[in-house]
Amino acid sequence: MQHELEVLDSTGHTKTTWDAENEYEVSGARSLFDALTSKGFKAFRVKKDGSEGEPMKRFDPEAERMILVPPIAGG
Amino acid sequence: MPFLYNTTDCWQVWTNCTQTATTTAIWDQWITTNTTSTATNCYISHEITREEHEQMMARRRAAEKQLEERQIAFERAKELLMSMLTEEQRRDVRERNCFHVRSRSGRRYRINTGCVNGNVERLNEAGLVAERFCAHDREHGTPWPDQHLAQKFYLEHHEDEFLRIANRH
Repeated sequence: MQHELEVLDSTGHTKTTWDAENEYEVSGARSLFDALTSKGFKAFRVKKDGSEGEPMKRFDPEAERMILVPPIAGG
Repeated sequence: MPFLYNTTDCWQVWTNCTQTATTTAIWDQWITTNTTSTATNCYISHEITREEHEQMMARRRAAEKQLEERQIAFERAKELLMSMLTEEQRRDVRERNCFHVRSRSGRRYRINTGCVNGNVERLNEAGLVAERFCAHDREHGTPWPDQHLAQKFYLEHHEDEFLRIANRH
Protein backbone atom coordinates (compact mmCIF):
# COMPACT_ATOMS: atom_id res chain seq x y z
CA MET A 1 0.00 0.00 0.00
CA GLN A 2 1.30 3.45 -0.94
CA HIS A 3 1.19 6.09 1.78
CA GLU A 4 1.10 9.78 0.88
CA LEU A 5 2.39 13.02 2.34
CA GLU A 6 1.26 16.20 0.57
CA VAL A 7 2.91 19.52 1.35
CA LEU A 8 1.04 22.68 0.37
CA ASP A 9 3.44 24.92 -1.57
CA SER A 10 3.71 27.24 -4.55
CA THR A 11 3.13 24.38 -7.01
CA GLY A 12 -0.27 23.58 -5.49
CA HIS A 13 1.23 20.74 -3.44
CA THR A 14 4.14 18.35 -3.58
CA LYS A 15 3.41 14.68 -2.96
CA THR A 16 5.80 12.21 -1.36
CA THR A 17 4.87 8.54 -1.26
CA TRP A 18 6.38 5.61 0.63
CA ASP A 19 5.93 1.94 1.26
CA ALA A 20 5.67 1.27 5.01
CA GLU A 21 7.78 -1.87 4.52
CA ASN A 22 10.60 0.08 2.89
CA GLU A 23 12.80 1.60 5.60
CA TYR A 24 14.64 3.87 3.18
CA GLU A 25 11.39 5.42 1.91
CA VAL A 26 9.96 5.71 5.41
CA SER A 27 13.13 7.44 6.59
CA GLY A 28 12.91 9.97 3.75
CA ALA A 29 9.27 10.77 4.45
CA ARG A 30 9.93 11.02 8.19
CA SER A 31 12.84 13.45 7.61
CA LEU A 32 10.63 15.66 5.46
CA PHE A 33 7.84 15.56 8.04
CA ASP A 34 10.20 16.45 10.90
CA ALA A 35 11.95 19.21 8.95
CA LEU A 36 8.70 20.96 8.01
CA THR A 37 6.89 20.55 11.34
CA SER A 38 9.95 22.02 13.07
CA LYS A 39 9.44 25.08 10.82
CA GLY A 40 5.86 25.49 11.97
CA PHE A 41 3.97 23.40 9.41
CA LYS A 42 0.87 21.68 10.82
CA ALA A 43 0.33 18.01 10.01
CA PHE A 44 -3.06 16.41 9.48
CA ARG A 45 -4.00 12.80 8.91
CA VAL A 46 -6.75 12.44 6.32
CA LYS A 47 -8.39 9.56 4.52
CA LYS A 48 -7.75 9.12 0.81
CA ASP A 49 -11.37 9.96 0.15
CA GLY A 50 -10.76 13.36 1.77
CA SER A 51 -12.90 12.89 4.87
CA GLU A 52 -12.12 15.17 7.81
CA GLY A 53 -8.60 15.02 9.13
CA GLU A 54 -7.07 14.98 12.57
CA PRO A 55 -3.95 16.78 13.70
CA MET A 56 -0.70 14.84 14.11
CA LYS A 57 2.32 15.61 16.25
CA ARG A 58 4.53 12.77 15.08
CA PHE A 59 5.15 11.02 11.81
CA ASP A 60 3.20 7.80 11.43
CA PRO A 61 4.48 5.55 8.63
CA GLU A 62 1.17 3.70 8.65
CA ALA A 63 -0.90 6.83 8.02
CA GLU A 64 -2.82 6.46 4.80
CA ARG A 65 -2.50 10.10 3.81
CA MET A 66 -1.11 13.23 5.46
CA ILE A 67 -1.25 16.89 4.57
CA LEU A 68 1.25 19.45 5.77
CA VAL A 69 -0.03 23.01 5.97
CA PRO A 70 2.34 26.00 6.07
CA PRO A 71 2.22 28.34 9.07
CA ILE A 72 -0.16 31.26 8.78
CA ALA A 73 0.29 34.88 9.78
CA GLY A 74 -2.11 37.74 10.33
CA GLY A 75 -2.82 39.59 7.10
CA MET B 1 -32.49 63.56 -18.68
CA PRO B 2 -28.68 63.21 -19.11
CA PHE B 3 -26.77 65.89 -21.01
CA LEU B 4 -25.26 64.45 -24.18
CA TYR B 5 -21.89 65.68 -25.46
CA ASN B 6 -21.10 65.66 -29.14
CA THR B 7 -17.53 65.08 -30.38
CA THR B 8 -16.67 68.79 -30.46
CA ASP B 9 -17.98 69.31 -26.93
CA CYS B 10 -15.89 66.41 -25.67
CA TRP B 11 -12.73 67.81 -27.27
CA GLN B 12 -13.30 71.27 -25.84
CA VAL B 13 -14.03 69.96 -22.37
CA TRP B 14 -11.02 67.66 -22.50
CA THR B 15 -8.53 70.27 -23.73
CA ASN B 16 -10.27 73.30 -22.30
CA CYS B 17 -9.82 75.06 -25.64
CA THR B 18 -11.99 75.74 -28.62
CA GLN B 19 -9.55 74.56 -31.30
CA THR B 20 -10.90 72.31 -33.94
CA ALA B 21 -10.12 68.68 -33.23
CA THR B 22 -8.01 68.08 -36.30
CA THR B 23 -5.12 65.64 -36.11
CA THR B 24 -2.61 68.50 -36.12
CA ALA B 25 -4.47 70.34 -33.39
CA ILE B 26 -4.54 67.24 -31.24
CA TRP B 27 -0.81 66.74 -31.67
CA ASP B 28 0.00 70.38 -30.86
CA GLN B 29 -2.29 70.30 -27.87
CA TRP B 30 -0.84 67.02 -26.67
CA ILE B 31 2.79 68.16 -26.74
CA THR B 32 1.61 71.59 -25.41
CA THR B 33 4.48 73.44 -27.06
CA ASN B 34 2.56 74.55 -30.10
CA THR B 35 5.52 73.62 -32.26
CA THR B 36 5.03 72.18 -35.65
CA SER B 37 7.03 69.01 -34.93
CA THR B 38 5.65 66.04 -36.73
CA ALA B 39 4.82 62.87 -34.90
CA THR B 40 7.33 60.81 -36.78
CA ASN B 41 10.19 63.00 -35.50
CA CYS B 42 9.28 62.59 -31.84
CA TYR B 43 7.48 59.29 -31.73
CA ILE B 44 10.36 56.81 -31.49
CA SER B 45 13.56 57.94 -29.84
CA HIS B 46 15.67 55.14 -31.31
CA GLU B 47 15.34 51.93 -33.20
CA ILE B 48 15.24 48.76 -31.12
CA THR B 49 18.34 46.67 -31.63
CA ARG B 50 18.19 42.96 -32.24
CA GLU B 51 19.68 42.36 -28.78
CA GLU B 52 17.02 44.52 -27.09
CA HIS B 53 14.31 42.77 -29.07
CA GLU B 54 15.60 39.36 -27.98
CA GLN B 55 15.74 40.51 -24.35
CA MET B 56 12.15 41.76 -24.57
CA MET B 57 11.00 38.49 -26.07
CA ALA B 58 12.87 36.49 -23.41
CA ARG B 59 11.19 38.54 -20.66
CA ARG B 60 7.81 37.99 -22.28
CA ARG B 61 8.37 34.23 -22.58
CA ALA B 62 9.47 34.06 -18.92
CA ALA B 63 6.38 36.00 -17.81
CA GLU B 64 4.11 33.74 -19.89
CA LYS B 65 5.78 30.62 -18.45
CA GLN B 66 5.37 31.94 -14.90
CA LEU B 67 1.71 32.71 -15.55
CA GLU B 68 1.14 29.24 -16.95
CA GLU B 69 2.87 27.62 -13.94
CA ARG B 70 0.73 29.67 -11.55
CA GLN B 71 -2.41 28.60 -13.37
CA ILE B 72 -1.39 24.94 -13.16
CA ALA B 73 -0.58 25.34 -9.44
CA PHE B 74 -3.96 27.00 -8.88
CA GLU B 75 -5.80 24.14 -10.60
CA ARG B 76 -3.87 21.51 -8.60
CA ALA B 77 -4.60 23.35 -5.36
CA LYS B 78 -8.26 23.70 -6.22
CA GLU B 79 -8.50 19.99 -7.00
CA LEU B 80 -6.97 19.17 -3.61
CA LEU B 81 -9.26 21.59 -1.77
CA MET B 82 -12.38 20.19 -3.43
CA SER B 83 -11.29 16.65 -2.56
CA MET B 84 -11.18 17.68 1.12
CA LEU B 85 -14.69 19.16 1.19
CA THR B 86 -18.08 17.58 1.73
CA GLU B 87 -20.58 17.57 -1.12
CA GLU B 88 -22.42 20.51 0.47
CA GLN B 89 -19.20 22.51 0.81
CA ARG B 90 -18.25 21.76 -2.79
CA ARG B 91 -21.63 22.97 -3.98
CA ASP B 92 -21.22 26.19 -2.00
CA VAL B 93 -17.80 26.80 -3.57
CA ARG B 94 -19.18 26.26 -7.07
CA GLU B 95 -22.33 28.32 -6.60
CA ARG B 96 -21.48 30.92 -3.94
CA ASN B 97 -17.67 31.16 -3.80
CA CYS B 98 -17.59 30.14 -0.13
CA PHE B 99 -17.92 27.18 2.22
CA HIS B 100 -18.80 26.79 5.87
CA VAL B 101 -16.76 25.22 8.64
CA ARG B 102 -17.81 24.35 12.19
CA SER B 103 -15.02 24.37 14.77
CA ARG B 104 -14.69 22.03 17.75
CA SER B 105 -16.05 24.84 19.96
CA GLY B 106 -19.23 24.87 17.89
CA ARG B 107 -18.59 28.24 16.25
CA ARG B 108 -19.56 28.51 12.62
CA TYR B 109 -17.25 30.16 10.07
CA ARG B 110 -17.59 31.05 6.42
CA ILE B 111 -14.46 30.90 4.24
CA ASN B 112 -14.90 33.05 1.17
CA THR B 113 -12.96 31.55 -1.73
CA GLY B 114 -12.82 34.61 -3.98
CA CYS B 115 -9.86 36.09 -2.07
CA VAL B 116 -7.55 35.46 0.91
CA ASN B 117 -7.53 38.84 2.63
CA GLY B 118 -10.11 39.14 5.41
CA ASN B 119 -11.96 36.22 3.86
CA VAL B 120 -12.80 34.29 7.05
CA GLU B 121 -16.02 35.30 8.76
CA ARG B 122 -17.50 34.09 12.03
CA LEU B 123 -21.26 33.84 11.76
CA ASN B 124 -23.65 34.39 14.65
CA GLU B 125 -26.75 32.32 15.40
CA ALA B 126 -28.72 34.28 12.81
CA GLY B 127 -26.12 33.51 10.16
CA LEU B 128 -24.90 37.11 10.04
CA VAL B 129 -21.25 38.15 10.06
CA ALA B 130 -20.12 38.75 13.66
CA GLU B 131 -16.36 39.08 13.02
CA ARG B 132 -14.03 39.03 10.04
CA PHE B 133 -10.51 37.57 10.19
CA CYS B 134 -7.40 37.69 8.05
CA ALA B 135 -4.73 35.00 8.42
CA HIS B 136 -2.94 33.10 5.70
CA ASP B 137 0.38 31.76 4.48
CA ARG B 138 2.56 34.71 3.57
CA GLU B 139 5.89 33.00 2.91
CA HIS B 140 5.45 29.99 0.65
CA GLY B 141 3.51 31.43 -2.28
CA THR B 142 0.72 28.90 -1.99
CA PRO B 143 -2.20 29.39 -4.39
CA TRP B 144 -5.51 30.63 -2.97
CA PRO B 145 -7.23 27.21 -2.74
CA ASP B 146 -4.31 25.91 -0.65
CA GLN B 147 -4.77 28.92 1.63
CA HIS B 148 -8.46 28.13 2.00
CA LEU B 149 -7.64 24.52 2.86
CA ALA B 150 -5.12 25.70 5.47
CA GLN B 151 -7.76 28.02 6.97
CA LYS B 152 -10.23 25.11 7.10
CA PHE B 153 -7.77 22.85 8.95
CA TYR B 154 -6.79 25.62 11.36
CA LEU B 155 -10.41 26.44 12.20
CA GLU B 156 -11.34 22.79 12.67
CA HIS B 157 -8.34 21.78 14.77
CA HIS B 158 -6.37 24.85 15.88
CA GLU B 159 -9.12 27.43 16.30
CA ASP B 160 -7.57 29.17 19.31
CA GLU B 161 -4.26 29.55 17.51
CA PHE B 162 -6.00 30.86 14.39
CA LEU B 163 -7.90 33.46 16.43
CA ARG B 164 -4.72 34.50 18.23
CA ILE B 165 -2.75 34.94 14.98
CA ALA B 166 -5.46 36.45 12.78
CA ASN B 167 -6.02 40.15 12.33
CA ARG B 168 -9.58 41.27 12.91
CA HIS B 169 -11.23 43.48 10.32
